[in-house]
Amino acid sequence: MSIFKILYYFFGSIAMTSALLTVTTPNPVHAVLFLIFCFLNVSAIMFMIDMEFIAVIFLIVYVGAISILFLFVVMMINIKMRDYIFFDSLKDTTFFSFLCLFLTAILYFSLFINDLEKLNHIKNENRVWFQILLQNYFDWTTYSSVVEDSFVLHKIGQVLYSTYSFPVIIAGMLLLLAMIGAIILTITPNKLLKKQDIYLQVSRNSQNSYFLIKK
Amino acid sequence: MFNFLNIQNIDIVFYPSLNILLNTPENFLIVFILIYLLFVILGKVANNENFTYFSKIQNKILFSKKKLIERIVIITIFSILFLFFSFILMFYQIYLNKVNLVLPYCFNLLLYSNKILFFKGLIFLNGFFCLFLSLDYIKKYYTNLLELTILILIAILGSIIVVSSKNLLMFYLALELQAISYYILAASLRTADKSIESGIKYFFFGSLGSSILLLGISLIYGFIGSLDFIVIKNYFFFSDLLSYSEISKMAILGFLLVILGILFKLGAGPFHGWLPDIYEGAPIPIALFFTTNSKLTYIAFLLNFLELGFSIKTEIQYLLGFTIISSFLFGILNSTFELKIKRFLAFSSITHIGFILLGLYCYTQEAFLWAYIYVIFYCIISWIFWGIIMNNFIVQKKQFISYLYDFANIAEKSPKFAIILILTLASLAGLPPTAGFFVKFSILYNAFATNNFILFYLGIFVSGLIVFYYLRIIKLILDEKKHLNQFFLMNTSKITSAAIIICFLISIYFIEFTAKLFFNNNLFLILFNNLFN
Repeated sequence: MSIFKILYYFFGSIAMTSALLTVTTPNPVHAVLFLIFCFLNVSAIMFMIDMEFIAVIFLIVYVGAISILFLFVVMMINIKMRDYIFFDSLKDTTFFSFLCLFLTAILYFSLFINDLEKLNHIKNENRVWFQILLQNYFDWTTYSSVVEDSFVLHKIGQVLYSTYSFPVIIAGMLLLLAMIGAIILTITPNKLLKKQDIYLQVSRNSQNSYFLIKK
Repeated sequence: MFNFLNIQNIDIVFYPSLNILLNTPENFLIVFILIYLLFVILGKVANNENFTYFSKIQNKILFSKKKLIERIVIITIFSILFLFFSFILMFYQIYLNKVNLVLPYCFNLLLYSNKILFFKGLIFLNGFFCLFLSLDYIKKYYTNLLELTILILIAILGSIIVVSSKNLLMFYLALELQAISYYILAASLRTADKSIESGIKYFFFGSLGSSILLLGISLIYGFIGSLDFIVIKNYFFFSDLLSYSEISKMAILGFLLVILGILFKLGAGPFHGWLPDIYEGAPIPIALFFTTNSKLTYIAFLLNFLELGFSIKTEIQYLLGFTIISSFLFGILNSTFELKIKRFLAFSSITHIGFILLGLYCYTQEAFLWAYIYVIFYCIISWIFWGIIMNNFIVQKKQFISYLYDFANIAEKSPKFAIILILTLASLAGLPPTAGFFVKFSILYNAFATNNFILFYLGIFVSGLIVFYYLRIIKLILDEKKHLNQFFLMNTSKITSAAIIICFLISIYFIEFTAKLFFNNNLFLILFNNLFN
């Protein structure tokens, strides 16, 4: 085993266990801390496979912003510690567990239903031609061979505003929508609030600004 | 040092001429939404009551006090006009496609063909009618919320891009754009507790569905190497054709998970649990928008997406068959014992989704087209039905029609509505002279023609059972002795009753249209060739 593999399994196992612990711990603060730990390990794995951009984004966005926000919210809300019961009765738990089992069974049966028919299939001679054909279709393999001498950020920057320009616009619309939604759902019109009227302030002059209250 | 001159090697993207790019409804809609937002913000500023004397004068000139209430109506009417205009623009684009022989071209991850333009036009028309019917409701309840129509327009923008997306990344972004505006719309009636509850529920279940979808997308990217539809199609097609290598099971699993996520969002099969709660809590016009728009977009996307996996047909059919059977089962079991009308409509929509998915199950292009015609039929019928619900206010209860026995003896008080209601219920049940019969019959015929006998017999059995609970409501409308003369229905305003009558006329035309398609095979082939080739 190389060092790479050892490190990969190390970080991966820690990430898995901390992800499990986030779900199972009754204390919400502990859960958020485990979540942060999970993100850190995942970003370490991302560094190992040369995806610096995603690793840094994980650190900045998830660890730096969102998880800390979670932590603040959890600390602000007074949640009483208790054993969380997901399903009220035994009947419900059995029903839902059977449903889940049934769904996974359906998915896996549908995957392997074709195998019986394909047992006798013969490999074709067109192997080389097919490989060439597939290579042309694979986006990232051909792409990384073309721009080897630049690193991830450079590649992303080149593609972002040319090929993927429309998704960027749509992401902007998504942010706008989030802003509108947050304002709509939380705003309370306060009639006592004094507001500035810039037009009036600018148009004020010496003749207008004094007047008699009583005669 | 970075080699900036290397850029020309990377990706040569095909950009069509600028005229076509400006004509695209997506860009048009984005610009319209941004300008409209400015208008709404200006309106909000003018609405402020703490104005000093000068701006009070200004305010009187611009918006007098009577007009202050009706600003929301002006905004909705303008967006209705816009939607109708863009519906006409769609026809213009189909015309352009015919005349200039522009083959289905694509740029910026979007696909343009006659079929997709057809889908988009229908989505615009659906938004047009949803807003048109709910004008009265908006005037009553949404005087402060000027952003309502902007949210609806953003949802329509998202659904247009979902329909025409050629890349799974683009598809996911647009889906989220649509879904988040849905969550906000569900919670938009802030004074009602149920509305907020339904918004939060929708948020949780919608994000669960999209997480399943994301898992599928990431599996596809990992094992095929791209998110582009053409690459996925070629991967499945060539590995099946040349039998060089087996199609990797994980890629198939990803494909199935994407379909599963969309079925979750549609509320089909065993994933229907969240649907009735949300329909019950959300405001009525918005519940109407959810039912019709989500079905139009997701089924259209499934039509595009299922074409890619033609060589893994058996696997997909296994999943779809399971959802069809369970959606028949749950839909019938729940809707027979339901008394609340919105929950009843939600449960009955689950059985209709079962029939639509039966059309997809057959996996022939003709069956796909019939499934989409079924969706259009369902939309028209639900315009009428929900339109009647949201425009009739029971004065004594101070409430909209919310229980099934509120329909009791309508035939005596307002016979016009009774006739319309009975005909729509008959067509939902699938009784012969109506459009519902032709559509249901042709889907069952397609199931028979493709040798799916089990689902064919099940479909006949279910369509027999469905008739029971629609006939029960018809009986309630015509003569019910328990609730005799109990309630009084308020008259609707002229605009909305005109809208309901227009929808009814459209539905009558639709009967003729489906009957023509049904009996005249040539006409069906002409429509089919125009859309699918």
